[in-house]
Amino acid sequence: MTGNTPQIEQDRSLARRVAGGDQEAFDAFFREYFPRLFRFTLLRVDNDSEVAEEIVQRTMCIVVRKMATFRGEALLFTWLCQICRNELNAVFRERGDERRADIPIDDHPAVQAALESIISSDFRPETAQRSDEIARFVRVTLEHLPASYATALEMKYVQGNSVAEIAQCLELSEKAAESVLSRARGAFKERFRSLWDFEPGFVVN
Amino acid sequence: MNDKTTNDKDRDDETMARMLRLAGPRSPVPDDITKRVYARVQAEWRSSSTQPEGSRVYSEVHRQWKKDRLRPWLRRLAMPVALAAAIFLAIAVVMQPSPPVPATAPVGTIARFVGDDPGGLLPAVGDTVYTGDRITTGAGQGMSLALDGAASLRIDQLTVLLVEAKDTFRLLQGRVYADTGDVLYRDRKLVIETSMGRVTDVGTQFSVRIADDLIEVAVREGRVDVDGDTDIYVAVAGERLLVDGQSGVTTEMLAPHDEHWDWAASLSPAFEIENKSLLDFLRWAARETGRELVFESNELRMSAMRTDLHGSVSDFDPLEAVESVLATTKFDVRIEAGRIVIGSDLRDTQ
Repeated sequence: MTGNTPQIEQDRSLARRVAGGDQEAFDAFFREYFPRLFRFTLLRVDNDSEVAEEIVQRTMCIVVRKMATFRGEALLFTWLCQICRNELNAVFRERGDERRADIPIDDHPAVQAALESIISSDFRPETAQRSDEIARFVRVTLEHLPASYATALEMKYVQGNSVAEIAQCLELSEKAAESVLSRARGAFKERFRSLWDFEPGFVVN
Repeated sequence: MNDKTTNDKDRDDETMARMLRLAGPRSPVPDDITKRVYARVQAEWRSSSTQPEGSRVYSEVHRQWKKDRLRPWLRRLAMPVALAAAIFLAIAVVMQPSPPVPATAPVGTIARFVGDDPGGLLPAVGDTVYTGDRITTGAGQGMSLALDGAASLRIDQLTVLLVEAKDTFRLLQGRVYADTGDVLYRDRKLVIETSMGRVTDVGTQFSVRIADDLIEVAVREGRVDVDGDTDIYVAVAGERLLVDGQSGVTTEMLAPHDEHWDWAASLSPAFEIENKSLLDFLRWAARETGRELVFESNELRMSAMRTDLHGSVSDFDPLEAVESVLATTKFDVRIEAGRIVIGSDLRDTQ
């Protein structure tokens, strides 16, 4: 994530460079999207890393072949996720697996149940199952953020790192790290809401 | 910012922090998986991004076009005559407008050629084909054309094909086969014009043949629409549609692995196996031969995914390539009607 250029513009530029054969751009693309896509997939294959590896490899091979056709009508990660869902279905079919990945996440029974539990007044965060569901939501949300945002949030709130440590990890000045953190907080909340049309504030009771 | 807004923001931030702590750290991606996937995706990227495209191709083609037309003059004429001609041409260029650049655009590259071409009249592997080209194959000759976006057009022997536009070809004689890729990811339609109607693919593997007063459209995967003079016909996977000017329209069943398709498989662009997984290679072979790929167990499938390939199978057709590659592995293959079945080679354990 660099400067204030809109993400969509950055995505278009990266796609053009990858399609043009720029090795540096390919590496940046892989570094940014592979871990996110892998975790996105893991969540959908019951944490089976072998299946996730196959699906992510297929997805990324398709994407690099088709990179020249990326027009930036959606974010690059959204495009990757859509192709990934198709490949999930294809692999399940080939493996004779009964699972189907084409159920929208917010139609998934577990997600629905969790949403209802979060919104309802009798939500009890100590309930392990519900906590797991919320944790799953949060992880999905993080994977929809640029890698530097997710890293900054995780370092700050999960690992308890200082801004200086975050700055060092992201190779930024402390001021820039604070700015990234601020944008990351905003992006997390916005993405969380847009994914599930849900206000995080309801959780606090 | 007033106090209420500040309080709401703080509350939101605290909520978010609690949720993040509840979720805990994200699981790291294992290094071995990262390295494997990087190697495969990079190999795929390199093989797909080495094909020239767009204006770069046009420049190369145009430069070659100019060079090819100048050389015969230089060879035939003596230097004084050439000098005189140059002076004359220079005057002519000053007095007349520049000749128009041919209105051409690159369409794809030749990916495979079979048969002899003693006169060197046909384009060679790697050559660019562009709009306006007329491709004629003789007896025993055939070629495949790699189009942008991973589509493939194969031209059978005794065929005459005119490249009208990037996605439009006019079949004047003979037979062509098109594979426009996985229907989910295709971004355009391919049109084959004939004297008896227009064939438009809806997806994704099909052949078109014309002879006298007949057009034959066979569909291996997906569907095509045939827009005739008076009617529109639809052919779906597993069908062969014959539109005869004399006796009308008939439809026959045609299995995706029927030997009708063998000529197209023999022209399939070579699969570059270097650094690709065995699983990807087998998927390619299955698609090229219209067969389903079946593993006897998921463990074998995962093992195929983790088996890297090296070398070349460019001289083989897809089934020969499968047998050749698997002969060097612990896998066993059975080619059945409609299926490529992968098992384990028990000889290793005996």
